[in-house]
Amino acid sequence: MDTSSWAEATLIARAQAQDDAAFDQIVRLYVDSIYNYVRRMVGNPQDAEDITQEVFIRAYQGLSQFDGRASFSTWLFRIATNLCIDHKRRQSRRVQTVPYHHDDEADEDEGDWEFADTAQPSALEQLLTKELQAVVEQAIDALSPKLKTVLLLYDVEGLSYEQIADTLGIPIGTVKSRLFAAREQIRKRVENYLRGGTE
Amino acid sequence: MNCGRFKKLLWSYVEGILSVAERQVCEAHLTHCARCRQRLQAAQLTRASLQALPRYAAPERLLKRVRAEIPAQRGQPTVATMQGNGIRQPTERLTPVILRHWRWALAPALGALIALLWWWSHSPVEGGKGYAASQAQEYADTCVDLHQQLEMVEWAGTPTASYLVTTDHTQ
Repeated sequence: MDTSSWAEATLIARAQAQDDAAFDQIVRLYVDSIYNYVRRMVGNPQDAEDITQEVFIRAYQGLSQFDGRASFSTWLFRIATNLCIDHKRRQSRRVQTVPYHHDDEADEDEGDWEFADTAQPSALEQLLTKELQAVVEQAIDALSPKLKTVLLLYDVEGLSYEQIADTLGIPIGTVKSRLFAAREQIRKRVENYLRGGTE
Repeated sequence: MNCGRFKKLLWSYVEGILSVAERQVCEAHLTHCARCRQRLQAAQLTRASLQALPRYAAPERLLKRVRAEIPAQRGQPTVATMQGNGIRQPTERLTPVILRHWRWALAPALGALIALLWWWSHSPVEGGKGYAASQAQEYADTCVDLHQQLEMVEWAGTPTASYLVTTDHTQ
């Protein structure tokens, strides 16, 4: 066990012994990651605040049940994911959303464009415009919750396949296939945008 | 390698987790396939964009809200914690479970009330002490009548007459 893990385990043990100061330190340690993840999942800042608060309340209530088999962050992401998916379900019951239909065939059409040599970092950086960033963010928003969860946990929060599998209770193979599908959906939108499409 | 095979390996290529041999095969394919070069470039931009997404920092008031809520949670039941799916509003958390779910308790309570009323209306105790007392009195009167009839039979001196004396209480 490395130093940070040992320190975290100590904090958790203190919090389990009802040391609120220790739990406060845990909150400060993870609140930004959880908030960022929840904010990307639900979009709305107010909802993100409410859900993040709920994540830590539930973690506090369930501290005695935390046995350390999963990492604490994995456990928090699991609670957060459940709450976000539940929030989405409630939203979809209230609001009839228009599903996103992706035209794979059109996206796969041959185009006559080609980028500059992206092996050079400067060329890549130049292309990372705010507009492209907006396209990517819109593409993330359009993902289904299942795909979005895996994409955010892997590509944004930096969890491993194993951690995501543990967080979501799904096989590693499913994590990989969902990640692939999510990335492909975004990549196709990016391609469309680069061809001069509306995306 | 064909384009289909390259598409399957595309993201592993972008992440740099292919074996040397696989990477060389991909690069050989890329030298003569403009379409897959487009795919690769779009994938690289996508990944770079994902990694460059701005991170949202938790507002300070969120920390304050959590800190304010924690003391109120001490001693609260923990069973619901890992059931995991429901979102309760922060103001609801302090409400006792029985009050939050009173609607569910209403139906069995109503059923019990109806059953009690039915039992009450069909019970022999209906009418209270008057009913029980009148039953007792009726029984006592019957006993007295029977006794008087037996006395009359004995007084009449007809041995067979006693067989004629029957009531609801004598078989």
